[in-house]
Amino acid sequence: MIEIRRASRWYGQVIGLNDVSCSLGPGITALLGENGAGKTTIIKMITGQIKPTTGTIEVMGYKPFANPEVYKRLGYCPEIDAMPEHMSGRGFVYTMARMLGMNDKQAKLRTEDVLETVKMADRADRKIGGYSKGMRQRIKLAQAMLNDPDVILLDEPLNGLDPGGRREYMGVVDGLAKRGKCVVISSHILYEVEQITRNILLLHRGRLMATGDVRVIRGLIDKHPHRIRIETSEPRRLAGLLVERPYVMSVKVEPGDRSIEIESREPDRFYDEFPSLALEHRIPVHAFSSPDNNLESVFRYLVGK
Amino acid sequence: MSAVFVFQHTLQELARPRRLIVWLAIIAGIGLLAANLTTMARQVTSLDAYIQISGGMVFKVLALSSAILTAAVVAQEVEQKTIVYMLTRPIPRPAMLLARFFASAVVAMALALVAAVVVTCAVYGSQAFSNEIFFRDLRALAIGAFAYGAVFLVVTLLINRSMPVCLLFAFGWESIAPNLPGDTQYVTIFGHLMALAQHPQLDNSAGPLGALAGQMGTNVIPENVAWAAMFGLIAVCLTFACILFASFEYVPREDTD
Repeated sequence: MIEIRRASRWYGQVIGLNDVSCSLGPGITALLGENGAGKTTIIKMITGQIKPTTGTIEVMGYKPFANPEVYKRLGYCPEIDAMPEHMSGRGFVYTMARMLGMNDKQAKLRTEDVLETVKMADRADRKIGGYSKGMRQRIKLAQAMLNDPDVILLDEPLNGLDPGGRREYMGVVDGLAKRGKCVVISSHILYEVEQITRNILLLHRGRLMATGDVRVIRGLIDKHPHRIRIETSEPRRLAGLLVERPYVMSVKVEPGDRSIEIESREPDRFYDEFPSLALEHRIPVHAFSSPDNNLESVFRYLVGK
Repeated sequence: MSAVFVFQHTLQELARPRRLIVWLAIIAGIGLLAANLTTMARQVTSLDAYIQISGGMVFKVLALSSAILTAAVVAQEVEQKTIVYMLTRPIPRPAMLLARFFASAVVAMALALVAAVVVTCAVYGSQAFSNEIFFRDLRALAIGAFAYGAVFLVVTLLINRSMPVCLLFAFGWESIAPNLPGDTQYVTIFGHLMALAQHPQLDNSAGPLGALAGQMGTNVIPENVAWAAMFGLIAVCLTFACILFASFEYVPREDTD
């Protein structure tokens, strides 16, 4: 449905997207990358808001830039929260429906349908100015589904949704994918993407670094020694206990520091066993975090740094 | 059909009571001034008062409202980042632009016409609609709304944050140039509108209102030339605006960082 061939986009002296080629078909595809990776640039090119500087993009066989034929079959949920603040959610979705060419009756019916789907029907008469971020995300999704599009682009759609809202949102998106729609979701959170789809495009500084199954990416993280930082008031005692474990490769204690950093090749086993170890030996743990459990570390592995 | 809806929707948006209330207050203020001008200055006749208030204030309201309302066509949507919704609808971009432009021009025209009615009523009372200049003013205001709007539309598409430029044009150039000797009035919209309105040259036109009404210069533009110039200007500006908007790329500043 979407074909991108050697597409690059420059913003003056800055490159937003660098020689990207890929094709996207039915099902959910996640555009994964940090802020500034080029996710929004790809989405803007697919939605025909900007043109590639070089290369080509085709959506359902058409060049998308300012092309009404594409917009008839495309739904777009932008990242920005900007909407007409004085309008009600229902009024906004209805207006979008009319601009899609529906008459008054069709637009009203379809507006109610999509508001029900995103569970906003009972709150849609309030002014958008008073909406939370989560409610705005739902209204944006509702307007993107109005024309039952074949291609739906959702730019960072889970930002601002609470866990329940995320589950509901993902359920709606999953339903669209099951009906054979091509759904493209951008995100900068690996964990979030894993829950939605296995099919990813990994972008880093405008380049397509990897495509395919998200489990391969997860494997890349797990193959490398995984650093975990633990904050405790008894760092030396905890270090002594951990160094005996076979899955711990190294333990580092900085003098005067109230934390330790370990390296492990089996992070899952560590996460499973660590709570009982801390409880058994009554070691207070204030916090722990993994500086490797993020996209930046994946990019480091991929570029070989 | 969608473009018709865009026109109706834009019209509703621009004519919201909250937006109109300021304009109505300004028009009421002009009406009060018009009603009292002859009383405040005894040497000012009804004709003097009408010509000065109409040329010096009603036509300025037209320029100001055109500048502000035309900004809502595209520039305001860009600033508020709601333009993404406009750009991703299955409506050809020129149709979208023209539908929104005509709505803004209609509201600007309506405001100016209401101001003209208020002024003629305030000055002439029961004789308000026997004033021939008033009817010539109406047609000049009507075409002026589209002419100012078309020029400002191009400016808003070419320049980010274009309001100061539009206001400088409306109140600076359009106030000064018609009073200059020679042919500079040919390169103003106001000069052509005055040619259509055919305001008589007043004997007693000194002062700021007279200057704003362009009474310090002599209008030499023939009426037929004024009509042709206004229609030509509107056609050229709207064609250019459609070409610009058809290739318009929306790139928010943060995307280029």
